[in-house]
Amino acid sequence: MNYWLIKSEPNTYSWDDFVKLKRDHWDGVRNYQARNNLQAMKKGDLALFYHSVNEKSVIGIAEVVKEFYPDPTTTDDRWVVVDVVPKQKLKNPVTLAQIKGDERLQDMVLVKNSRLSVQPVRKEEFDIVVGMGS
Amino acid sequence: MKDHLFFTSTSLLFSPVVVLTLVIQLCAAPKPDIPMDKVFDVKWVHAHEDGHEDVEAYRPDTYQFPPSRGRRGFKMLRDKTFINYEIAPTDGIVERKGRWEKENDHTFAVLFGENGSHRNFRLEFVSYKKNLLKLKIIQN
Repeated sequence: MNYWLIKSEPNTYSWDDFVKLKRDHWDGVRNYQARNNLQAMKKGDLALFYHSVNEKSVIGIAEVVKEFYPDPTTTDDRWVVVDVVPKQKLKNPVTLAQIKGDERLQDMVLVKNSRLSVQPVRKEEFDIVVGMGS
Repeated sequence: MKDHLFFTSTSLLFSPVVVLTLVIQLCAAPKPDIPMDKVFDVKWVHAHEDGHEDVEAYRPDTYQFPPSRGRRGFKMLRDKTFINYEIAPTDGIVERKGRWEKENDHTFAVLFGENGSHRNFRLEFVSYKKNLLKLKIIQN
């Protein structure tokens, strides 16, 4: 199993929106590196759901339930989506400041390249962040 | 000889190609009546839920859309400015300005000039109903 972090602007699409929908495709990706990460996702992978912009915090965990396919919101065949479902909301959001302040998480892509909207996470990093939010 | 000519020209008149052409012309959709006064100066946002095949649907940005992570859009100003709202590589929406030129009552060329690598395209309006604009985007 692989682990990921997916970012969303909460005023556009929040964890609560995601929970209401129960299942959704992860669209709106227009960055090649992020697109490549979507293509690498496998069914059963877990992803930290991150609220960007003002909140800057990990809110919950999503699970990949369908591997990549063409983005249905565009006719441009360069872009893809995966289907995800909400798996668990963290009891306490884990802020970017907390993550940056933890020595064990200094190699996280979120710390080194915080603008990438779909990014890989190591299992140990995933477990630490989930532990911080539990 | 005359009979032969008559037969030949009659055969040509009712040949499958000619008949098909006539049928296509008779069945051709009427040109859409697009009230451009209601299209101008409105930010139209992609309603992918209402589109089908190559016809895209757009609604005013005041519409209560279902949540979606990426909604592009556009605005046509009366002064021929065209604003394209695109999903940026860093997420979020980025504005790109160009200009529009009328080709006919329902087709407009959208030009971004020499500024950057953005491709020009054409908007072909298909229909307009209150709060719902349907169109085709034709890449040049």
